[in-house]
Amino acid sequence: MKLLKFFFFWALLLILCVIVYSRSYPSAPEFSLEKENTLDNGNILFETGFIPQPDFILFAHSPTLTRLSNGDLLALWFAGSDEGKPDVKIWQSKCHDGVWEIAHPVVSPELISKETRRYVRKVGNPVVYRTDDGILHLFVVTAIGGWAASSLNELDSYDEGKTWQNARRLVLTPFFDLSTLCRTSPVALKDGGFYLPVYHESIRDYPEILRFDSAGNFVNQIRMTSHNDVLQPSIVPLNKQKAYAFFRNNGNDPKILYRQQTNNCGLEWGSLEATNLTNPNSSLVVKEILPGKFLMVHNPNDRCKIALSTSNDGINWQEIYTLDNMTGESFSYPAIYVHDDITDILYSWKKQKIKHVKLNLAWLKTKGFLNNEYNSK
Amino acid sequence: MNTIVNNLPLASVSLLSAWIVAGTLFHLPKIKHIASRKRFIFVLLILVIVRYVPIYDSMSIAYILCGILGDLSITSVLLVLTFLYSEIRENNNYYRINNGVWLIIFIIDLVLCLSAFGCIPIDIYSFGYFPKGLLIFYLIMQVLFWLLNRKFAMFWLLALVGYIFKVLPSPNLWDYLIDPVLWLISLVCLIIFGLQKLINNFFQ
Repeated sequence: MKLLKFFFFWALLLILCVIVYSRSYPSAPEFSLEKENTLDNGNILFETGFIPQPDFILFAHSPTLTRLSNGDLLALWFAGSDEGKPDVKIWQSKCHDGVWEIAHPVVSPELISKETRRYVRKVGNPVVYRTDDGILHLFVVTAIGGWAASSLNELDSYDEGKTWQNARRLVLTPFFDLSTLCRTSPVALKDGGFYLPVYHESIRDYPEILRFDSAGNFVNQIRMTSHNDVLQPSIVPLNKQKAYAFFRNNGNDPKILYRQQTNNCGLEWGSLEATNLTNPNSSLVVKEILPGKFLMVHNPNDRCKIALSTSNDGINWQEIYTLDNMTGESFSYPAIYVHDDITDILYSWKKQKIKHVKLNLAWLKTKGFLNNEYNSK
Repeated sequence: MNTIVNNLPLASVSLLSAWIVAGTLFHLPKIKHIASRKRFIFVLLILVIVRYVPIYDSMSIAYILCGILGDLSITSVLLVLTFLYSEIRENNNYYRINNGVWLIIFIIDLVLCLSAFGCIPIDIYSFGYFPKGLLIFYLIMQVLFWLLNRKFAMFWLLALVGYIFKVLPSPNLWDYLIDPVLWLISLVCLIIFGLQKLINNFFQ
């Protein structure tokens, strides 16, 4: 009898191991590159404005945006009476023909609690992404206590953002599934999936990327570096395999702004390289506007000033324009979307409103965007 | 399968809560001698209260605990079921798990969590997504568990079955095998064992 049990157990175990071992894994990823932008030598475009929201909203932060199938822009952010309060929800607005509709709430802690069947006290840092099939995927950070004890959740919209549903918790760490947050925009993969840049913020801070398939299902996560205090990576694909990542620096002074490179589509990342910029522990975004021409939206010295900087190599940057600058105030957490030659930028304005800046390549040219020589560090 | 995936986390924390309450109350002098049938009914009652009775903002204890603890591993669920059965049947044999097993679990989860916090440069948790390499470690551990406590080896086998059928929301094999609650149980058991050894040595 004992021999029979022994045989049965080990035979079953080996069969199960063979089943797991022979499972097919996803194919090697490749970045999907956006259409090359053309330099428009016509009208110069530079417009600014605020996304309208109800007067009772006193706090608005961390915008994200994407473009819908009809060309409208969709923006989301978290807002309420103050950061971390239970009344804070994810708010949304659409921009149609250049006009933003008044913002309305779309996702609340109660909605996520009910759909994920777990208690959630607060929400924040939304990130939206549209897959090729037209489905919108919204990633929301939720927490019961502080942001260091937060979790990541995913919701879908099948009607261009009118409703959000199918909320589910992403299990990303073995320690009570805590301390993973998102901030920066996903990057597309050729198989229809995407990478979502995230970061772990607890005893040590480090960045990761999460891979999703074309249906928005979570596949796996890749740690970009174990270097402490770099987070909120902004990833810029250069070709099918190569990409740069730029990081917020939460460490001690001098808070260098680092660049990191991958040559195999994010599976492995090289060592951190110092750029000529510093980062005052604030979020930044980078886009390749033209081949070999990068645009960064960031806080150069502190959050009182938010600026545009450009580079040819991702290491040497030159500031070309100040978007906002006011002592004692905060302009931060930018989001960027580039389509054709139009660049739309959103950022948190004094943590009270979301400001929209719309510009084009012709305007960037007038600010020296195409200059070939920058001061080396 | 979606029904299982959606409900298993809540069911798991409900079972855990029921075990903690039952394990405490059934050892009190006035309650410890009640019949198994009454114990079973009492456990069912706790399960219903924890799972369905709202206590805060129309949420039950299970909802709140799920938000705090996350998903329990399949190993934890089976262990808690065994312990609960032990409490109902007043049979402590089901509690007997070799301290070597607890030591192994304690070390594995400690290393896993240290890695997740970034204190160890290797991301051990990521091996659970495409677990070809992790399977070798799993088989080695199963040999140890088979020698130390066959019940635990069966738990880990069933955890692998759960992984194949994707009964938890996570696609990571580690989340089926181990979790912080299991680590806490192992820590408590090791402390109790250590204290017992100290007391025995003191009185010898």
